[in-house]
Amino acid sequence: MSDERATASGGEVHRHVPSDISTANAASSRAEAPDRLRRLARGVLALILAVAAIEWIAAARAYRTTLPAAAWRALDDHLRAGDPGLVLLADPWLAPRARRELAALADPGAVAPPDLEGRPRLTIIARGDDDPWSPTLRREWGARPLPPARARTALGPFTVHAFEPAGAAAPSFDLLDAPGLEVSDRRARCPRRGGAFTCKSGELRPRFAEIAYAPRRCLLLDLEDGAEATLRIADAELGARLRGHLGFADFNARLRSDAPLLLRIAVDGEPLADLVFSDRQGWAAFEVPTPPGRHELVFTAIPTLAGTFGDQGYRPRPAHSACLEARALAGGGAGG
Amino acid sequence: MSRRVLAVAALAGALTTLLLSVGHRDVGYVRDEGIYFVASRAYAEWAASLTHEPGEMIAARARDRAFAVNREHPPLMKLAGGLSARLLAAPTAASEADAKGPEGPGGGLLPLLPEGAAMRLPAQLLAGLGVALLVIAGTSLGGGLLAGLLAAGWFILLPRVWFNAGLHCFDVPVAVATLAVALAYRAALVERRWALALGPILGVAIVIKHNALFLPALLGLHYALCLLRAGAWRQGRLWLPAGLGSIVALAPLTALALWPWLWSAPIDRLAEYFAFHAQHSYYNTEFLGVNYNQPPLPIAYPFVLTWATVPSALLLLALVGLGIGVLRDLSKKTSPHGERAQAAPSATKDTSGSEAETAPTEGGGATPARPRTWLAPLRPHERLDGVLLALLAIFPLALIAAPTVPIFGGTKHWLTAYPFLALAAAVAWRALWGRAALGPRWRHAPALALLVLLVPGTWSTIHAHPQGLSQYAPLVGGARGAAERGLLRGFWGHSLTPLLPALERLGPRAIDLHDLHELARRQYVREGRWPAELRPAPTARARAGLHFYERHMLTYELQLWDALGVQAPVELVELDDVPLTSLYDGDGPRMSPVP
Repeated sequence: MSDERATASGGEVHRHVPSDISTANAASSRAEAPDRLRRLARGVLALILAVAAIEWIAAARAYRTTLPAAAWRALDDHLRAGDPGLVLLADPWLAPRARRELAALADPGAVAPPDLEGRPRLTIIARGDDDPWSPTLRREWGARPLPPARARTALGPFTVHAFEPAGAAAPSFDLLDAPGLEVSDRRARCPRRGGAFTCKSGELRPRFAEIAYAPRRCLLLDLEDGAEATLRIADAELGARLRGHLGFADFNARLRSDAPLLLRIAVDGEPLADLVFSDRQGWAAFEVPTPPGRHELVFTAIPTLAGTFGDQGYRPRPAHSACLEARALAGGGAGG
Repeated sequence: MSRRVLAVAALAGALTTLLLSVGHRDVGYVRDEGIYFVASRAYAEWAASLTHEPGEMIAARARDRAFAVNREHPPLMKLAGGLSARLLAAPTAASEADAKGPEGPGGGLLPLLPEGAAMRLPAQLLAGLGVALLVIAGTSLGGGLLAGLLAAGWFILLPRVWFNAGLHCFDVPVAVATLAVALAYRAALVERRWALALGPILGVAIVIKHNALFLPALLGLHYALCLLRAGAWRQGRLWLPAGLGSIVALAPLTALALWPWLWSAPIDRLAEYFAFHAQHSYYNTEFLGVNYNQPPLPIAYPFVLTWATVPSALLLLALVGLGIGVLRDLSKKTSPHGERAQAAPSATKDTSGSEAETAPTEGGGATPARPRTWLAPLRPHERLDGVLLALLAIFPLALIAAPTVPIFGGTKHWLTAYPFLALAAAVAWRALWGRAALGPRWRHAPALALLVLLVPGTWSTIHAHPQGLSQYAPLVGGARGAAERGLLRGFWGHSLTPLLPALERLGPRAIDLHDLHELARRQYVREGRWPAELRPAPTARARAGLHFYERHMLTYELQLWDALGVQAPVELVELDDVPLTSLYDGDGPRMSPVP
């Protein structure tokens, strides 16, 4: 501290001796350099210690459990008491714990929904004051305007946001649960055994699949190269539009192959759409207008190459398998 | 170096080893350890047989049989781990089939530790050595014991360093070995007695892990810069001084002597070893919500991950130290005889603690200097310490950032930078407190500041244990903040130990192990920690399953859902609400759905 006074005093002396300006300037800069360094050192030390102090506070906030078991139980009780519809998490990384704690997520359809269309009721669980429409859920919702919240309930560390999207009605047809679904390939009809369709050229099975690093429940088309699978529903209850998705499972197969799949959709023998999907599209949505009422609906899927070329030639595994879902919905739409 | 500093260093090192040895009993076996355990038993069996069948064991057939296992990594830590188990491991529950040979029940002369803990001990001892070296070197560079403690704490009191320091792996050992090589090199520049030792020390580092192979080039570059800066580059006799000569001649010999696999066909086997690492497969790693498994990894990856896992105040201090060190090296002035001396006072003691032979005067000149010799080519003030720290701190991160380098996932791959960042922090510590000149009223401020600086990392480390691999720095928000930002949750399938009681309760069951390596599971079996009735099975035949969370691993969890018919885990390992591991039971009670 005494050094500081001496420097200040020195600076003052120079200002009062204008007759020898050059000498004064030289002396001044010699005196100011250490002073400047001292101030700089003190400033840097203060900055570093301030950052450390902020880290103490941040550590106190970060290094603790914020979602105790009692909070999960209260949340489960709340959801059981009402009709939450599809329950979603604003934070997807909480899903394993949520599946363990919440009965609303015990339904296989709730843990890997194809999108948020055709859901008359939605419940989003967020933490505290977080925006329920997290980036993940906004992507799922698509380009439509976000619906207003019908109710907002604070439950300890959770906030339950309830929505009733206008005009949303449950699908009148779902490919995954269609009882009259018949599958055949070029060679023969594929018998259904235990939920799976076994064809000469492969297998089609409803299952969970990782597509673009998200869980989806869909019909996995595990078919030989060049096979053609025809999925026919003789009397599908169609709405104003048929909405579906197609994606490729899984990360390992996507790394080794990027071959596309051709999908043709026809109603009562009339082609509605010819689509080409590649794995770069992720969980690619498609939507076609349909005549409402009972109609014959046919999907024709033609995978190209499922395997990969490596230094030991072509290998059919791990298979680059497409996964398909489709639902008949009433009007509205234009989701992503 | 005073006795007090040496005593504190020894105490800190011993305490580190003790805490690692006890604390890491809770840390699950990581997937790489599984094969290292097997290799360790094979190598130690060979070494033990040397005493009674030397002729047979030294023959290529026996040698190759033992050292072929896991030959893509050098043997030293595995050999040390195996010998440690032969000394300290309790007998294991090896199966009848394994009763003979290296996979037998074993049991050491002093059976004090479980086998895995005994095998981890050499790495833990090296971590202790690293802490002791940092106390000593930090005290020397930082001008006081507090700076030494800062350097040691900077390094070991980080969750990732602490986690890796206790494993039977090579990452912290090679970081410590790199530090030892650097300190020996720095001493060898001015002292002849270190010149000969440098090569063998580097040889030891090389047989710990291949990271050490980069050191000769880095040290050579640093030496060339020192010669240039000292104005001595025209003196041809100094181009290859004894220390670097020792690196060229003795390091390869030492490495070869300690790696019996290379004794036969060394060229071919070295080529195989280099090819393995040059063509290393790409890992999957999550960075800011994106899974990377194809090159290139974003250049920012190692830098952002370092920031995300090391407290920012410590990083700031280290960066300031690197800046000060390099600026100080650049500002060294030329002496009247065309030689260069320091403009500002800096450490005039070398790492061994002996006084330097010359010291710069206040005026920037030098006292009569001893001549530069082939054995001691520089004067103490001619060593560019700042440049050395910067090279060794930046290179490991820059290497991982290079777009052509295979994708390696974890922070462990650049831990070799951390001792030098820690020492840079010590340099900053000295410079800042020295320049700040706060006066006697503030005499306790440095000690208090040390506490303020080290608490966030310590807190982070203790709180995360034994899941330190999933921990993140406070400003990121810890594990929760990392999950929100899409940073890697964990890897290596080790977050298991809290689930062991639940596995016990499962009863006879086929279980899908997911990322728990079968060899790591067998280590639990050997130590009686894995339920005998729980047998591993592929997903399709399993009735229970483990799942370790990583972004790209989701596909395996979904396969488990399909196979077991359940989507809800029965038990979870979490860190601050963030799921790390799930246990699924296909035959357990189901939750009743909402009516």
